Amino acid sequence: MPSGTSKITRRSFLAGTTLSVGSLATLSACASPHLAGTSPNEKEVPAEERKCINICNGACCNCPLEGTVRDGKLVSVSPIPQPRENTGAIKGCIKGQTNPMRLYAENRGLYPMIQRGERGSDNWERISWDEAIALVAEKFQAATNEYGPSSVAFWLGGGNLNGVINGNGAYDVNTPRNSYMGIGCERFLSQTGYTIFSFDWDLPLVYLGGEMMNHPYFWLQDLVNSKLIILWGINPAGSGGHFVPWYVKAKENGAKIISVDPQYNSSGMLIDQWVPIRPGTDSALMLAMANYIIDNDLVDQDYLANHSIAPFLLKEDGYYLKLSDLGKKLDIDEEGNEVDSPVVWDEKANDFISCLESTAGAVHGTHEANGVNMRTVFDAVYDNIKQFTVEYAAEECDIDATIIEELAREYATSGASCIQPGLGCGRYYNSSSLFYNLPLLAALTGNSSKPGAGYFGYGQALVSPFTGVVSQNLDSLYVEEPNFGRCISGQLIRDIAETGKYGNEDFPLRCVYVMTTNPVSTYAGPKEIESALNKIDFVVTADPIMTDTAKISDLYLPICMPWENPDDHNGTFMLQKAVEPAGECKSDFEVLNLIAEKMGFSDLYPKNDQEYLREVLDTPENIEAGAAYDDFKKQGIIPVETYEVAELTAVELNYGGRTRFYMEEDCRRDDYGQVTTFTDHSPFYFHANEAYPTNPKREKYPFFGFSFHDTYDQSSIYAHNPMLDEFREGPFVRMNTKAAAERGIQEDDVVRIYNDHGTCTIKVKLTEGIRPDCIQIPHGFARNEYIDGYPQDLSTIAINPVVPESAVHDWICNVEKVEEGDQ
Amino acid sequence: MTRYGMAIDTTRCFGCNSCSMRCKVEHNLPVNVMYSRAQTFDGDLYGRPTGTYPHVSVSFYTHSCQHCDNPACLEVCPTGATQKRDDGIVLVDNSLCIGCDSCIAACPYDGVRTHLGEPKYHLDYALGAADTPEHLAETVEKCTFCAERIDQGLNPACVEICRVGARIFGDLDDPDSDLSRILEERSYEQLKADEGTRPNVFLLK
Repeated sequence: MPSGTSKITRRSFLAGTTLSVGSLATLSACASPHLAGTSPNEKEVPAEERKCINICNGACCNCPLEGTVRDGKLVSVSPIPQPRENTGAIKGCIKGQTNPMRLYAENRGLYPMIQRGERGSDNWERISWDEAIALVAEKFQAATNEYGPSSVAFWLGGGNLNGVINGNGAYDVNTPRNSYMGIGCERFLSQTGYTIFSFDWDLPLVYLGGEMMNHPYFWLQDLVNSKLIILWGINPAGSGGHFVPWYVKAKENGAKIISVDPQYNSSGMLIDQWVPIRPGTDSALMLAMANYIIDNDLVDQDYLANHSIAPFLLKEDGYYLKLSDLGKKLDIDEEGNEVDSPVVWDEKANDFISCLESTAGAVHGTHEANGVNMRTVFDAVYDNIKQFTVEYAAEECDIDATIIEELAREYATSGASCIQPGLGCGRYYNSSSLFYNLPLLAALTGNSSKPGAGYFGYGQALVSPFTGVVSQNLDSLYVEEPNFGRCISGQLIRDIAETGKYGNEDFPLRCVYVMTTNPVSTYAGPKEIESALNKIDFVVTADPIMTDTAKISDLYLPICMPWENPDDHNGTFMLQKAVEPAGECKSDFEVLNLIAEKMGFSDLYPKNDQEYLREVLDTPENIEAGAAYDDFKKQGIIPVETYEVAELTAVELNYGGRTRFYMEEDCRRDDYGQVTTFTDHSPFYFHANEAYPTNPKREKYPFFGFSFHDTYDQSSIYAHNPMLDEFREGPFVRMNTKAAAERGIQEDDVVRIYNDHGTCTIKVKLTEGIRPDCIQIPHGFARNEYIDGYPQDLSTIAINPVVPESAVHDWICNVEKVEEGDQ
Repeated sequence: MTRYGMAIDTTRCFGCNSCSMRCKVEHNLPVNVMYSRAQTFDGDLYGRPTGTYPHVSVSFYTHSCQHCDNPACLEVCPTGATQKRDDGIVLVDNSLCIGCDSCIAACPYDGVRTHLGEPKYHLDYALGAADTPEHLAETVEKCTFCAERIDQGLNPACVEICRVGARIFGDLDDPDSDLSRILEERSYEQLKADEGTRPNVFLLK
């Protein structure tokens, strides 16, 4: 039970940098106030203006933004201005500036509504909050009474991640979780013991790489020290604009920048070389590079032996040989505690010694001690990866062997190479391997723990021009005697709804409360998710907009957007109320208060939101630092006294400061009895679910399909946004010019993309900046913004046994021109 | 004298259009009116690369009124609505504009002006700065270099928001201005330099 004051965790910080989810659809019943068409030129007496700080909540970077309020209306939202010399300190993009539009967009829900007749029939009736809350309480209570608390699940997403009061995004599935959501959610769920469906996004990177492997975070300001930067499946110019200044600076400092990506995008202005890789095969390329480095004497032997886990000794059970196995004296850590360190065979000492003492670890070899057989981690790993040669990758990834060799050589010899992995390669069934393969490359070449070198990160600058809290008081986060329910990956609803079981256990799921997530639009396999939800007795969606998921729910509850209710973003800045909520919208905290009261938990929330905020923020440390409740309440966001970009080197965080490319502990996110093997925990390449070149279905479906979040697109929270539409002109598919010509397809033609899972009819934009065997679709528009069908319908649920990322890029398809009369 | 101009650093601009949206909000621009827009040198708005797969490249600049020293729009304006201030900023006084579009026809820089029909808005209240001038039907509008901000000693809105410092605004007659200094140090090109308009927007290479 976390209690007392606790520091901001690395996890909660990371979680604040991530995500994907959200969404839309229109409904006449939710037509918003302030939608125009008229010409509001009226500029009478200039009214008084005030500034306020709030958040974009665009399900991506969670940028703090500054709003201007005049006459009680939000007239402008923009990044917080910075002096010109504060390179890289401006957060917020073109999308964030459309926040006033978002508040009053046509898909904004304004009233509680109940769906009469079948779900999805669009037969909505406005009801009062009293009626809506009574219905929720009645359904939850009935399910709980008959089937127990696990029969009610809260599906939590990325639309509102880090609000101390209203936050509702759950990444990790531990009980209790390492990270936490807002007080509203946590108190409710720890009281009721209801199930949590956590969201399934960015998991290879954030969950496996960050949480489980504890890879060192490469900070953007270290890019200026890099000689070679490999953007691997990431498009900073399109989806992380505030990263760009750091890349520009690195480039101006002479760094070479290479992009490994099936598509060439606006980040092209940064890069020197494009390596157009076949989708889903990234791990094969990484291992080919590793093999080339090993075979061509490019290994940094000292780093591999003494700064990585390569010489650790694996017992037959997959665990490291440790001091206690040999009856040796344990190490003592800085705090005086005994530690059972892994042991290596040290070639100088000619003995098994603690990895903390060794300076000449043997990378190769088999050993036997006290009747236990073991071999080095490196040897065990190498046995599995040696098959993925340059020739293999040339075929699999469709890249010339000479390019792979040159890439490997440059990476190994530049002096300071940095790989920036993105989510483009991270959303396949096989993406888990990336975060074993990347540290293996770093371990082989010493590209870690030195200036400009790194292999892990999420595009974040450590130095902020703003100050955050020192600590948070989380005494009230949970109820006194918490009853934690199970927390599992959302996609598993497919099997739970079908079988009524989770593994071998009965799991009678009856009610689902969807909060600020939109799985029917944004997850892989939306049709399968819809079908699962349709098997559930009662589905409620609580969201600021009438999402596609809301449309197939029984009940819709309208929730406040940012700018409409106060909160605090995880101790980094205050969300100041700018305007009154649209229609009858309420905050999640208010809604959960009402449900709790109706269910008889009348003392669940003894404080109001402001009292809780004060409790969390008013620690003695924060008060002393001038970063407590009153400080944030007044300023919203607190500038640091001096903004200095210190040189920062990411240092390995794991035991002994060694680069780790193997996971000895079982790190599966969910445990439903699935079987995993050594290669689920170590460097390897296995095929994606559908996106692999030898998939026999490619005869029928020759194109690899994947989606993008780009300059104008993010999760479904930015659908139905006419201000952005002026720039982006609605959804379109990107297709290679030559591949299109071969099919008689021209610019702006309408095509149908299809496979066994689904179909979508959509306009085409041609480009030379994509592989001829690929098409790229947007991710985030609502269903009714397409001519027909929906692009995500072409994807399917494919659950990796360790890291169950929603595999939204992992599909293949065919493309055909739709003749005019057929549209 | 003061003579305002702007440089666009094409090695830094990544076509994010944050500046264009900032401009749109700041001036409460009606639907489908933009004073500025990022594009590639091929004029493509989606950032498509040039070249042939896989040998491609892309770079961006922002396109808007060039506030020329010798503006083609000035003399053709029949009502005197188009004016050039002493500091070089070219403005359209919409109270005098009759929407004849002579300026649009004369200007060699396509797409920098919009003939407003009946202005329409996404929201029923005005966005942006309180002192933003009204938009009048059947008039022509274009970038003002944020004259109202300049007069308050501020930078144009697009300059302030650019996170990579790709827009440099300043006084060309002041040799110590950031703009003059960067034009001294860097090579640049001007759009349609052979048209005799003497544009004051410089694309740094």
